[in-house]
Amino acid sequence: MSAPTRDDHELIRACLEGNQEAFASLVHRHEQRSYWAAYKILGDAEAARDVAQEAFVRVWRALDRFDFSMAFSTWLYRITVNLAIDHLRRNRRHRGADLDLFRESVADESGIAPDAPQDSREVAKAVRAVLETLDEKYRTVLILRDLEGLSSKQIADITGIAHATVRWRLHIARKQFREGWERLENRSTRPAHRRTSTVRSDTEHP
Amino acid sequence: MRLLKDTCRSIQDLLPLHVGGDLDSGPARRVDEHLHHCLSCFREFRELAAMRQRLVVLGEQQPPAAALENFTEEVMARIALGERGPAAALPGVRRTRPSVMVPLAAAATLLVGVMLGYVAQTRSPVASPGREPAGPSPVLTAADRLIPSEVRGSPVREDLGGLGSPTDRDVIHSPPVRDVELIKLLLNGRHDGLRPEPGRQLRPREPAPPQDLTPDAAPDSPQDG
Repeated sequence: MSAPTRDDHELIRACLEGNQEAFASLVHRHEQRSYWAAYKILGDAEAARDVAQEAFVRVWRALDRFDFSMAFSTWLYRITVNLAIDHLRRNRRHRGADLDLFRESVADESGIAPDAPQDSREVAKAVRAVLETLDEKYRTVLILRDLEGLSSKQIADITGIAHATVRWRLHIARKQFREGWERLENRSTRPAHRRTSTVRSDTEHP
Repeated sequence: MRLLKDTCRSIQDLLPLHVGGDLDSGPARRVDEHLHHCLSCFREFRELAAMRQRLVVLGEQQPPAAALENFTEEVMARIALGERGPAAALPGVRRTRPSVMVPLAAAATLLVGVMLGYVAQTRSPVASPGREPAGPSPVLTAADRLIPSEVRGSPVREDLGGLGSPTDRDVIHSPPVRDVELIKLLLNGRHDGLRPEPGRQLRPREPAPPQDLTPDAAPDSPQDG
């Protein structure tokens, strides 16, 4: 049976017998998910690649402690997310991205104000800039919940913090994100576009 | 009536969680009921929902296409370059990391040695007042006494794993026999250091100087704070 047709647990058993090709298959199979998880948290392609690779190296080191009652992807995901969070903590001094600089750069590139984004890419840049202003502990919970779609219980499980704490941080994070976004809008050079049109809706009370 | 009790402020405090479906069913139902009757809170809810939608947009962004080029190859190269693998793949190899205790033990041993050296240095002038300590004299330092010269001059043996090698452990934990005897002599006050003077008599062992132990300074006295 060729390696790609094996399931993850078979590949892990082969790895434990010293088969590095089996591990290469495992990496190839899961590299995208690991990388994307890191990328969503970090928002930086290079850092995400480093974190994802480090996650696989950590997996390789600890493979003999793998619990075969769980899915490999879950285990890898947990390692990746924790490494990405550690990366955020180490780089917390970068917290507080300069929204003014961001606004100017976007305006220079596109000729439009960032509060009136023309495509999802610009929205993503603006969102990322606002996220950067949040404290790491709030940012992490917000990303895991709203970008990654994990439940608050899953976040508590992965990060090792209490479920109630996760919900509290989520509460704070969403409020802070909103405040950050509004600050970004208020700094706009176009007062007429103070409020983002995507927020507005003609829908009135149901 | 519950709706009257639920002020807009208390409801709006729940909205950040409600917008993501993170409230328990009871509070969620209460918020929904309120939103059906309160326009201002409903607008607030829609604002928060739009905020959350922006995060979703970010999550849908695709990473750069070339991000995963040679990814697997680089991971495998790192592993091939010596990353430790699972124990089952490396039979017989003890995979413990170099202990933090080893450098700590070395530091503690050196500290004891330095203290002993200090004792030796301070006793000598008492025995022979007026004698200036010779500068770069061949007096052995504490490290000199604890680490034999044949080891001090030798490089760390790479084949034995650096700091955790048996050679290093021997140095740290097993000082040479002559040094052990010297330390015993110093502790017993029967040696005045490493510069013996042929004509000098050994001083009798002196009692330790009285310590300034007031009742407050006694070890079993209650500590401040």
